[in-house]
Amino acid sequence: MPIKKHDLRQCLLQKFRFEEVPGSKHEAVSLFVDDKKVATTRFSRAGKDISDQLLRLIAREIWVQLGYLKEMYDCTKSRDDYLQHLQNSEHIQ
Amino acid sequence: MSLLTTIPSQAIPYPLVGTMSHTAQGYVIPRKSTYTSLEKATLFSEVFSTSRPESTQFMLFGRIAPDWILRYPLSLTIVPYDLGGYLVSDERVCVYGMGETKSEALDEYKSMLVDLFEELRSSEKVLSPRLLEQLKHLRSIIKRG
Repeated sequence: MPIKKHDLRQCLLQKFRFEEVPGSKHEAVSLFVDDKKVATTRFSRAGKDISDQLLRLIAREIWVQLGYLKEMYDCTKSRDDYLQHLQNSEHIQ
Repeated sequence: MSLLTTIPSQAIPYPLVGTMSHTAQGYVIPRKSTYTSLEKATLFSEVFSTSRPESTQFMLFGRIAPDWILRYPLSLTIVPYDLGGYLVSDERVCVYGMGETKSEALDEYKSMLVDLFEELRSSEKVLSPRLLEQLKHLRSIIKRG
């Protein structure tokens, strides 16, 4: 089922503590860990909902696969899980 | 009418800034052009068309924003979006663009690309090694101009 852009963005901001990128024309949000920016993604202005086809592209921007991002959105993956994933995949040192 | 048929001697206009001569599957590519981005993309989609009718690969080149130019062509894919419209994406930079028309999707892709580039440039001192690598790649393909 498609996801609302606003809902996914709020999920990243609130649950995973991404931060809004000042000045972005595409509502970009970034994740900082230990004062380092480790992931960033942005959102289309087209106003459409997000299908798996698009979710897959957003997922790779934050270094996960489609299924993982779905679990992040569905709350079966926590922020700690995500940070562990980033560490395992060497996006966090 | 196909754009290719309007171009004599298999010559494809190609505004890429550089010192090398460029060819695409045997087509000679001179430097000057008055084609719009979509026309150029369409033109290249005919040169680099894929076998899947719903997915078209093409090369984006030239100006992507008032202040920014691609140093060399970027390979993009355009597909119909599940929920209507079109989706443009690439494999290397991991940027996408969406729009009701192919032209809108391409315009958004370019805007997203510049948005990402400017974000990474402005936060260079705090980037992780992976994002620094991404910035380095973007600097290799985008220049001010």
